Amino acid sequence: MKEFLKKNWFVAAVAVIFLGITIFFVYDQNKDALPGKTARGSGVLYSFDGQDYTADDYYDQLYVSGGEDAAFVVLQRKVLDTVAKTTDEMENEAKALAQQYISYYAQYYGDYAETYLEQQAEALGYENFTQYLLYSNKAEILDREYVKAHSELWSAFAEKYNPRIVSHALIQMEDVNNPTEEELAKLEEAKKAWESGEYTFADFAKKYSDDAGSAVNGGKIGYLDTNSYNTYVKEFVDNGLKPAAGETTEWFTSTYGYHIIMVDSVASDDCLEEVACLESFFKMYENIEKAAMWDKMTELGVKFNSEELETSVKEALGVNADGKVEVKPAEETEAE
Amino acid sequence: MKKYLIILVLALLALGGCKDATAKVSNANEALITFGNTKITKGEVYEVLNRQDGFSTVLSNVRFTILDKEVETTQEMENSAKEKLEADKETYGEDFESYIKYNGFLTEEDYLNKYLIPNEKTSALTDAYIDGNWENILVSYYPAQVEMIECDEKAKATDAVTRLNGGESMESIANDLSTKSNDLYDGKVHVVSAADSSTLNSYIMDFIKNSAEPGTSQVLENSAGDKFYLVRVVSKDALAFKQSAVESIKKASTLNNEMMAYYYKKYGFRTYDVSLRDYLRSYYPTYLNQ
Repeated sequence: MKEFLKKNWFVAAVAVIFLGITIFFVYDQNKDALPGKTARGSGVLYSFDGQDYTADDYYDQLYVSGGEDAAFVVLQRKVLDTVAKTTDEMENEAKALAQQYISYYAQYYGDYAETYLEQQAEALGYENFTQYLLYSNKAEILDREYVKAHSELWSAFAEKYNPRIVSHALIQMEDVNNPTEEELAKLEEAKKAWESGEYTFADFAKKYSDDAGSAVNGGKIGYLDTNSYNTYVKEFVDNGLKPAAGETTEWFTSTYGYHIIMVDSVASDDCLEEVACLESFFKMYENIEKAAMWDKMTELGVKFNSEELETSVKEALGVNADGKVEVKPAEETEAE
Repeated sequence: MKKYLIILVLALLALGGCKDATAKVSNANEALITFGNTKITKGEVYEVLNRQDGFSTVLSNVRFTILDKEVETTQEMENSAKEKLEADKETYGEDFESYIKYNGFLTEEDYLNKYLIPNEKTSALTDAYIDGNWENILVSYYPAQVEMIECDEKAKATDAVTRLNGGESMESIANDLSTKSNDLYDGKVHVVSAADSSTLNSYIMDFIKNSAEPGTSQVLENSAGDKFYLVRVVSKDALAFKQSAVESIKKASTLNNEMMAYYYKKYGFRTYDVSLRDYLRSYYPTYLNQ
């Protein structure tokens, strides 16, 4: 050993210094670390007056009033993960949507808006508000798949709500009852252009429509049905519900000016891509989401390790004695 | 030799990555629900329950333990709690069941035993805490008997000083000159303390706090310059009006946390879970003594 140190004194000195630095580094990293403790096979959350309260104690206490609901929350999330894998695009969309919500709620809660939304999401069992939005998106995908797979539901819905995807062009007027010469001239030019057949509706709207927000997208407005009176002016909805797919309305007026609407599609696949369509669907069939979730669980072969948990989940989803969630229109359920 | 040195260094570096502890449930991987290769485990359910609860149950548990150790449940407390129960049932009528369920109580008995009686005991505990820490409480909360008026013009306040110096009572002056925007500005004797600092102007509170003896303030002006105050400290001998002083101090929003911090320390509260520690650090830092 002595010989070794004599021969390699410099290496030994470097090694000792390095060891010293390492020991100091380890000490510095750990000096404020919270030590753990175990009791009765579980981690101790806290001790008080010499008694240990463990994570198991906490779990048992919370499970009494909320355990089955919590298990249901986790189950739904894992089922939704089979519907759609989380992609970067989905996460980014959820983050962007979260920012929009924060901006909206800031008018009521100021700087507290973000904290408020995070707390609401945590109360529902989510890690944060973005995760809540992500899973809301996946739930929409599941609901959409369910409706597409049950065409009989769509037929009844279409008959009642007259759903469609529409585009429009607007010739804006300050006072539609007293248009200026310039406004009238623009209207005439637009009418002639459309009647000429030279334009697709999208190109026509891009060139002539004064509704800048939709014109840039070829006049696309999106979803319209008999529930849309809360969203659009009466004249717009009244006229928009009349034509068949591929047809336009006559020119009509509203307080904004002169409109012409093109019905782009009445197909279920197109309509169901719009959130507004799903919202209308949920108005007609209140338990669609539950039916879709139970359907998926059945398909996946979900098994419960306790009867109580199974009963609780089935109750939450409205599963009947036949093991199904019956989808009925809301007014039938109310009548019962 | 080299090999052992390398192993030692690597082991030390590994130790350097040690993190704060998290308390875990036993059998965290126990499956409660399964489908295919997917499990919903006890550990995952625990995470959700923890997130939803936000440690409010921990705080309740500790509070109940403190109350059990420090305060005996008396018949008087039970009777008072039962009276409040009946009053609440009358207030809410048919909605009483929904009301208690909304607040996390499954039954009427739950509401009585986990809310109303503990509230009675907390009031008794607060009285005992104030009594046991009287000198420190006096310094922190400086209860005083005072007479006060508020004027909306400086000339009125100056006039009030003249009349007071002439021997007129504050109450009489207040009837003529005080805005009486607050019950405390009626010129009558009231007991105030630091608990009133959110209601009363800071100059008033400073005057009361710094008055060692009875005396009258100069005209005090608020920061906006549109309100003028005259304050007369009648007595700072809190023992002479102890009951009123205690009632005033008990209104202080800081008192409950201060009291709980005292008992957390007394009973050696210690946490071994980083999330609980961080939660307490954010919201109740005085509860931590580690």
